[in-house]
Amino acid sequence: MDEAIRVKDLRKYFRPRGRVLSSGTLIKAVDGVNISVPVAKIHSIVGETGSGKSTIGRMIAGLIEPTSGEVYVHGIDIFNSSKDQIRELRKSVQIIFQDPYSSLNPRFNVKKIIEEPLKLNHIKFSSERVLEILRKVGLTPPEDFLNRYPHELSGGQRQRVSIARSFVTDPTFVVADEPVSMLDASMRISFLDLIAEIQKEREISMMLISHDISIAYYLSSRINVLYLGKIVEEADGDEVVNNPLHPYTKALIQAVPKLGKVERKEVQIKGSIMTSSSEMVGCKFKDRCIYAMEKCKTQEPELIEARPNHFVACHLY
Amino acid sequence: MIEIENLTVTYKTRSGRIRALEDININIQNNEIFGIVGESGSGKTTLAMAIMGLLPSNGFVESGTIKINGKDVLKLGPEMARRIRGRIVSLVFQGAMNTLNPLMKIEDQVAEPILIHGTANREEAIKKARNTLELMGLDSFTWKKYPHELSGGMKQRAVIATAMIMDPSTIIADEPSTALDVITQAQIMNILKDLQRAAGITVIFISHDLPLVSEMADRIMILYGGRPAEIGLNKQIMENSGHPYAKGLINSVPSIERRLKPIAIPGEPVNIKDPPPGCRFKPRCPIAIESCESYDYVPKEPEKDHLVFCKMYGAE
Repeated sequence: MDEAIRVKDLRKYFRPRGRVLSSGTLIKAVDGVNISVPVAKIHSIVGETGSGKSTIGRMIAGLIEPTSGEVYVHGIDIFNSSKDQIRELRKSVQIIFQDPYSSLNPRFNVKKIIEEPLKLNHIKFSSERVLEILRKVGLTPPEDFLNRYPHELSGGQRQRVSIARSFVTDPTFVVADEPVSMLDASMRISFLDLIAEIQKEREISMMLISHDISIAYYLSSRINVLYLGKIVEEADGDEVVNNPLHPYTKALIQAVPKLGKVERKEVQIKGSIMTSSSEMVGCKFKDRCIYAMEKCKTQEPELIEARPNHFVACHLY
Repeated sequence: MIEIENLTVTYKTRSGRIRALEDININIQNNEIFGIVGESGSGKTTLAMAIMGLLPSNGFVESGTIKINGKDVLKLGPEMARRIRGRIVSLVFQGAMNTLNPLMKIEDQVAEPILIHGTANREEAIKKARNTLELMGLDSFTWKKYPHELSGGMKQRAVIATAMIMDPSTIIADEPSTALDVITQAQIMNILKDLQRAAGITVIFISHDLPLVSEMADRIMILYGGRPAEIGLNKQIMENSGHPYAKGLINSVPSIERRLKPIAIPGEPVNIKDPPPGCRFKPRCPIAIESCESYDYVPKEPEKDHLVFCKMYGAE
């Protein structure tokens, strides 16, 4: 299968400000991540706040540079190529942001918002191209929306504009960072359907970033569960949900609110997410894990194939 | 007990009056968890603020009564209303963890309501604060910390401790877990449930998240555009919902348990600044007929405790 994206041993370390941690300690936001997204497929990264999922998304989109590691988009190393190559690549990679309220320029009307990425990428276009993408995202008749400003639009309409802007350059790869988490519940499914429809039609490869495993599952994607900058489990959506192996994935699935379950539920996990620092040894999950063993304190588990096409990083397997 | 009768709340804005809540009738029993589900513009936060007597200055109760333990709180003067807040009804609102004073130690913040209400001296107040923090699962490690030293989940626990410190009989939790991760959210929900059981308090639980409310509440009210769509026991709403909006919400939940494909509700939540005539759900409703343009119906009662506010219910 052709690869759209290959991420190799990607790392991003930050030096903390202030006195919270002793000097010399690094915060490991992303700590050795490998992902490969095949052409025209959706991969998702699921994790809590602080797991590093957005940092990965931003590095793949080329918005921030990694501390080490490589990101290949269609075989081109985006951090080690000529400027021309990277510029060419920019056209094919787009990002959908979470917040339709802050990601649209309030002084631009819809026409200008949609045209901007085309102009920035020196893509020649006709006015029909803008109208067509507006129609595609359900802003019809498109002529009515061209001259409107973000404040004149509802939250749902803004997110449609934001989706239109991301797809207008005909990208081959899109990073969708929590694309529906700011929307009302009754609208989420229609947005996921819209994104999936465009993705299928145009055979776009996609990286979905979400804290909500049910959304990753709904898009039938391959799921990567991220904990403190490390992938702890990777498998197809069905497999992860029906057969979770890592204790963290199990807790995540237990914690998802389910319709009409009134009993007090036991979420088998301790404490809350911490910061991954360079001082941490052993498994990063050990302090919250109910199965932690002696080995977990000293040795960091490798990602292994515990079942066919199902990978987990845990000493239990 | 909280009895709300014919409550209508209006905001005055430059572009005219907006009715944020219309004709709400509910009785919230002692020691129950009453869930309120609604999207943006449904009026769910306005309802919380009206009960607390904390409506913004351009909002006022146009008609109706709110009785807390038999007393009409709308008729109380500001001083009496202030006494009720915190002592009898207490509020945890969305993003409350961001309102912690960054310059104050956690235990001091939690103790502050006692000192303001003047019911105990400082030493006793701190002791009570520590007890309450412990009840929330925050041990001595956190007592002398400042907010920035704690995680979001810990801060939210501290906020709930502050709300609990005066031993209120009712706590209103308005989206108490929206900014939190699912795991932290589940832990906080367990705390709220335990409190309700152990301390016998009433919880009014407000959220846009139907699955979350359905895991918590004994009874549920679904609001749409400032009006009730359906009220009933948890089971009645989940298994036998009658309002097309309630059904739509249930069917639109992406689930990791059933392979049923979720079905989206078309359109967007009603803009209450410019609502359609009649039933506010009509533009999105799959079964609406022309006469839904007049809001003249009485709720249908398929069972005791279960009310469906839809003209078409039973008419199909």
